[in-house]
Amino acid sequence: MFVPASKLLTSDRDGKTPVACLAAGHVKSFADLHAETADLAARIVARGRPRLVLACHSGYAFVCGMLAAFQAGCHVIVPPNVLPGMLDLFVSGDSPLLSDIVEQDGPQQMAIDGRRGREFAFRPLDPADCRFDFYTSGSTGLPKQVPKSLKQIEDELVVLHGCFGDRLAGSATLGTVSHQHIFGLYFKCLLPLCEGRPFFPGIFEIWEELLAAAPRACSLVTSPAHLTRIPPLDPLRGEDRMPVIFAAGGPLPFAAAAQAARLFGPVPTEIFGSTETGAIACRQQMTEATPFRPLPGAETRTDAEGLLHVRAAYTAKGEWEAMNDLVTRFDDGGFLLTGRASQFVKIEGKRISLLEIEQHLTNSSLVRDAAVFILPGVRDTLVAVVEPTTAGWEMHATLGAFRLGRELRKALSGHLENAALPRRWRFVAQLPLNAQGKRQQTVLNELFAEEGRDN
Amino acid sequence: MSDFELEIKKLVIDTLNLEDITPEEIDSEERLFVDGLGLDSIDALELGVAIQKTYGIKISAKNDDLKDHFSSIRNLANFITAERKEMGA
Repeated sequence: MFVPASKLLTSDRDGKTPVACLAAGHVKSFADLHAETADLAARIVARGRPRLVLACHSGYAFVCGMLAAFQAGCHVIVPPNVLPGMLDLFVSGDSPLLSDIVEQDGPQQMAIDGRRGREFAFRPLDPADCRFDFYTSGSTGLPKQVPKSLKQIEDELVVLHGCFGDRLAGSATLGTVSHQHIFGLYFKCLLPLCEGRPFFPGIFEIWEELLAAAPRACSLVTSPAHLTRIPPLDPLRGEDRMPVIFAAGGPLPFAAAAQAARLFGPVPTEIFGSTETGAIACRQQMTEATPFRPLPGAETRTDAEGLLHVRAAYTAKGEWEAMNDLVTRFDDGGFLLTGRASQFVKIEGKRISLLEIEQHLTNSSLVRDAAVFILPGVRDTLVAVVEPTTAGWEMHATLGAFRLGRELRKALSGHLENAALPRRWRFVAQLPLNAQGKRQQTVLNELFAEEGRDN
Repeated sequence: MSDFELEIKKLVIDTLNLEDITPEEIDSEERLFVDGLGLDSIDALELGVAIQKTYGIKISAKNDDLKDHFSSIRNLANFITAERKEMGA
């Protein structure tokens, strides 16, 4: 039975209902969630801070932390990843880190570690009063704050349950995506939680590990990055086949959709939306020209430039919101994506700010200036042209171009996800600029026309 | 360095389109992921696909030392050799 997250802890749900499948067959039940959240909520109240930064490896820990924080009346800040350099931007004495990454409580941190014992009188929450700040790539190069209430999330989950609940019924959910972003949080964790289905709280990076852990007829929450890189597998048969595969982040190549269907059962259900808007439309590619269709209650329109605007009850204040996508729109509200509109790019299904990567690069003592951009191809590639400092050229001389690029990737990896790490590198004496000081993109592109080595 | 290790190094470079590096510049014992060669999770996916297609072996996570097998060129070469033997190849 579907129970909204705000009413879950005060509901009469059976304590034996499975919530999360941990390693080695261990299952956290609703009674476990109840007891662990009570202990955590009591500790949060005792701490008495207005805000908490929620960043977890485990989706189960995230759910405990979220429910406990709201029970304690706290505002929940959700960083886009759990990397130390990113968390530094958010954590302070007034906004301690609430996480399963830390092992014990400290001045700026509280551990979600499954302990229990403290009592807490749960109350039904008013979801409109439960506030999140999510973060996504922003135009300033810093993560952009996206405020959201639990009410918006619950309204959207009701729509998703209406669309997919029947097909998902009884299935456990596994994901290759992070719950620090709303797609992973909603589809991998909250939808199963509210529907009373178990989910696997980890992030499976490797198919072999996912499939070894997967029970029969599970549902999948994944991305084009994973669906375009499936190893040779025997197709699942009969009752092993998956009822639903969700994918989001970017358009899935038709061949990858067809391959997933052949191996796992269903054509993947692609979800279109953004952190700001939530899920707006979906499609299953039966042909290469299958348009996205709005979800119930969602509306679309285009402006003079062909930019898509969307509206749903759960978009911010229910207002029209401009997307970053150019589309061909049909009379019934459906659409096909034709391109991206601005400095944000999509790579491996992740929304990435090129400016943010460039700023992190130029913070390195090895880099004087840097241009990061997308090189179009069979598979779009994120690339960097770097003007090294003297120290950078010294490293280039001793380690070579490849190892220098790896050093810079490593420096970025403290702040940015893998998808935001440039895969090809060129090192030049000076970035090609025109007389107005603008970058000459054609010249930059040509640097990658040839093999590396002697550039 | 064995010939097979050299072959795996070439496979890694070709599969992942690594530039500005030759097989000889990869140490058979250096770490492939995070440190050392600095490969990431997307590389791991592509490498897994390439190895299974090239050598006709099945990688199963029930094989719980998977991370170990992928930790260096030497371990990878040993792992592939053992898997192929097991399959009677």
